[in-house]
Amino acid sequence: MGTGAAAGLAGSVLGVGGGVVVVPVLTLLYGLPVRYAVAVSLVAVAATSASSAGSYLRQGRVDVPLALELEVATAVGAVAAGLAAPFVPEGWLYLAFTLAVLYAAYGMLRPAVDPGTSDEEPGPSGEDRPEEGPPERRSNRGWGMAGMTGAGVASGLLGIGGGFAKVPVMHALMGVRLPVATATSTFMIGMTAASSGWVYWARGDLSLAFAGPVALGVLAGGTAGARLSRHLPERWLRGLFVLLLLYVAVQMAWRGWTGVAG
Amino acid sequence: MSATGDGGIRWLPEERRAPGWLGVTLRAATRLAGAVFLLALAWPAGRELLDGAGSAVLLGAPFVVTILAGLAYARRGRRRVALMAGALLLVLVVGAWLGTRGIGV
Repeated sequence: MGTGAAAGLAGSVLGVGGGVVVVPVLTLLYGLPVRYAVAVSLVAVAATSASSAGSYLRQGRVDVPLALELEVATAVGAVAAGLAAPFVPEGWLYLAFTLAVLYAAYGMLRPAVDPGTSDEEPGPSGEDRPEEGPPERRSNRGWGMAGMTGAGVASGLLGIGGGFAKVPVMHALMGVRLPVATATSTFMIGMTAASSGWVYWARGDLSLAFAGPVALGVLAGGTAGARLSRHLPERWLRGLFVLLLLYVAVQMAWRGWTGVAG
Repeated sequence: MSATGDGGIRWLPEERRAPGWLGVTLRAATRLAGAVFLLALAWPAGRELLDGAGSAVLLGAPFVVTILAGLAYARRGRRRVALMAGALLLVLVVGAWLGTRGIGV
């Protein structure tokens, strides 16, 4: 449950997905095989998505038609990856996860852009400003679908939400405004996690003894993180978390290297 | 649903906005799963069953939301969106079925 709480807290305070916390902890501390850790992580991702996307839907920030369209491609990638996971050597999974952790650390070092306070934030009197301006292009649908399939594969293999790919694809490639892209991505990652999560569960790879406490921890940690984020020194937290991620990356890379070489 | 979201901000044009009760459904699923997991902690004898039920709620919520969204958009006459929801549901169901058939073991 502590693992889940840390994942939920990190997700809420630092804006990272729970998978980059859950999978390393379950594999490195509890010795769970990667495949089983990924399955537990997918339940945690579904919990994170459901709790956050509910609020975003209420705010009217989720582009549901776009989400449903893109999620078809993502789910195909996630299901295919879930089915292929047993055939991927564990060493390669560790190495792939190392890259994901390093990318998450890089993302935390970049200057933070809060979607709610970006340049699209409405002025004091401009209630409707986010809807004003040139219409959103929703262009490059083909490339968008391809990018989403890749995000689904990453999610299905590594137990992460895939938001790190979904947001840039929607925002930079398809012209979706950042606040809408982040909310739509949060809504989508639950569907992506569910699509491969059921495959893992049906195959008997989901350890319920871990899934329940971790998911409960994620729900509690996310709620606590939302409250704590106003009081905690975020800069220090980011620095510490980046160090932790780098340590995790080294550990995962070592396991991957010994697995592949051995 | 009101014309604007929280804080009076319109993030999306009306035709792209989701019915407000979709969010309520997701939040309800989250709370239900949380309650079931808490019950599992309090009742060790039924822990595996309850942990399974809570996980099923979390992994099942996207299915329910997809069905509800598809129906809602079909009623609005948005056939393409409803079709996408149907296709997504098909992928989810086929994936789970393939898993139960032991594919990928």
